[in-house]
Amino acid sequence: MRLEVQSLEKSFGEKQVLRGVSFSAESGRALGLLGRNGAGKTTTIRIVMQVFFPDSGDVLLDGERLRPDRVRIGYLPEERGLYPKKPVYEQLVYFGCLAGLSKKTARQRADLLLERLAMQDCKTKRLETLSKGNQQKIQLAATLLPDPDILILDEPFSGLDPVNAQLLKGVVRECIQNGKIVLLSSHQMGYIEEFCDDVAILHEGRIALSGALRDIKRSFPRDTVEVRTEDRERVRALLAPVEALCKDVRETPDGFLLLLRDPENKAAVYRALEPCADTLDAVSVREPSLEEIFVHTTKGASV
Amino acid sequence: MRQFRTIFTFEYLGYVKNKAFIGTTVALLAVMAVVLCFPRFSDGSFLADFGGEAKTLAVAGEGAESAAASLQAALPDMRVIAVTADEAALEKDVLAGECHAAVLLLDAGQYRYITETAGMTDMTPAVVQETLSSLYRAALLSQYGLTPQESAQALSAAAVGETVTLGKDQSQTFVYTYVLILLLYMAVLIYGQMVAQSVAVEKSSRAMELLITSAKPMNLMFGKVLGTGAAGFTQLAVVLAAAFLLYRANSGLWAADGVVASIFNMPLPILLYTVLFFVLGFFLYAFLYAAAGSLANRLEDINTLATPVTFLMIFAFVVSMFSMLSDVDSALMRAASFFPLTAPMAMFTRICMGSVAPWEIVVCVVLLVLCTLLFGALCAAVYRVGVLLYGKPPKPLALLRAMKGDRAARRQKKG
Repeated sequence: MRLEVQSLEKSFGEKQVLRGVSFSAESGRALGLLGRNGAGKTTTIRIVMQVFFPDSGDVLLDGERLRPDRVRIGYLPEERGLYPKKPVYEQLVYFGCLAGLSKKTARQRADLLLERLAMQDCKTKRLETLSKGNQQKIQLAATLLPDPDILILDEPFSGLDPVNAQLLKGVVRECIQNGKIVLLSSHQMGYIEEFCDDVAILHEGRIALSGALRDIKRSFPRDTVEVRTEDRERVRALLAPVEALCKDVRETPDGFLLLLRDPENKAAVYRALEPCADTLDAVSVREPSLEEIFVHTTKGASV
Repeated sequence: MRQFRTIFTFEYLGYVKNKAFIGTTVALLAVMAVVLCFPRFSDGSFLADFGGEAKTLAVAGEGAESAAASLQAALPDMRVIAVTADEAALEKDVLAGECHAAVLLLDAGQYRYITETAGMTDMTPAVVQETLSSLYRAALLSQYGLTPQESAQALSAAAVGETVTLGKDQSQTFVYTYVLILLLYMAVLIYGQMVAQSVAVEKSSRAMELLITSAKPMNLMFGKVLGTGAAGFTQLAVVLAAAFLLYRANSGLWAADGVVASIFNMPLPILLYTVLFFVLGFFLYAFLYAAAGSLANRLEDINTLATPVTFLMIFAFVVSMFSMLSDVDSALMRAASFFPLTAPMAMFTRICMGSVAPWEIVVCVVLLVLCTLLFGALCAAVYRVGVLLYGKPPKPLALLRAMKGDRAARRQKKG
């Protein structure tokens, strides 16, 4: 399956929130939807879920307009929300039924998910009596209950301890492997890099950057060389002649970081280091991290 | 439809299984039981006097003996004794609590009634006045030469008349109308607030984020309003049915009390009108409360947002109540009984206590039904927009703009 978002535009009153947002996501691959606060992520998500209707633009699934009554969408909102005063199981079954499951199926799915998330003991407890991490797991259970084809997760891992985070990651990975379309929105770039093959970065209502993360990283100039060594002094001496080729040479705890004037200069640097190959741990082109790409793309302007 | 049923059932059971809701119902039942079984525990005269020892009335002065006998006959619940004492001694006795009150007979039909506190509902002074007056009149008449029999006959003579009521006898209908109007007012206010509150809870707990993405707003709002209404009517039905059964079980003991009997013996048409106006009144206001709740961010906002709605309700209530004491078919009441927001109470009051033509009732009910449907649609539109608006509750104009934008976007999508 392929979810396509095509040039969405949306205004609230005077304020134009989306100015032509397009991206696409495929089943079996997770898409990271990134953007600064107020960039329009939640609005985009709500349009995909057809809570809002766009002023123009469309959301297509396999080339046809997305029909929420035909396709099941699971949504984990950033602002978690369930009934705090109702028992866990009761509300899971309720949300299952609302999403169109029969009562029997909803019960079976709820049992299955509570077991998968190691939460069977909390069935009859009221939600507000659970710890934050456990509430989060119940929220995820509510999202996964209708066995959605499209999964939209907004900050799914915030506030979880490492054990629970591991458990949830396993569940999300399973969903990706099972061929679901997964949209993951987070400010924690580590998670995005871990899960997502594709990213779309929203900035001021527009897509500032989108595509396969691999390609995006490769598209940045490969002009930073990282040298890791045991013998800092020897390397420093050997680098002196080629320093003119660098914009900057920074010392790192393990060695040096060279910012080349031209990526073509890599070869000269490698050759210069040849004599001390025995003391080098690694010499490699350093790719920008997603975080750096994100900041580079979205810095300045906007709130 | 299935979704609506799911929501309706969830809301309904949510209330019916709620401990506070059950507790309120049980408390109401207990109050009903105590009130309606009261005659069983008391000697029957509880309305006049809440048990205890009989109070003493001391009579002193000239002719105290015969006056005491007459007073005793007129005040069967009191112990009337003739004493020999002067005013100071009587005052001392009253202050010391020796007797509840004292009567000092003076010359020529004059007397002094001495009591510590003059109670507002204490009928004793009036009875004493009445009894001593007739004694005085009898004495005067015998002075004019009438025999005691003749004077007794003259004094007890009264004209015999009969009232022919062509419309409604308001003295009969007043009490149950009063009770029903009060009940209608409280039911709409309490259950309406419950609707507003439960919408606001979903919004503030952000359960709305999930609800709105898995269910249609129309279903959400109608499911909630109807579910809450059904729960409210269940509670009312249980309490009122219990009251009726308790009254039946004790009806013999209540026979003497016209007020209570008139409530439980109301005519069947009135009962049916009650149900009709309860249902219409509730839904009309419940939609408004749901819309108000959808604009609130936190529970604290409800009060502010629901105030205009509550004021309308209070206005309808006050107009109806005051008209009951003067003229239920006044021009204001006629107008109010066709204006949908005041109609449930005003028209109901007029049906119970005034003269209403059948066409008036039909027009009123049709207007009410249309208005309820209109409000339902309008409030659903507010709800659609309101539930996802966080931050300060929007000003009316901003809300209107948002609703227009929402409609335009939806229409474009469909087209």
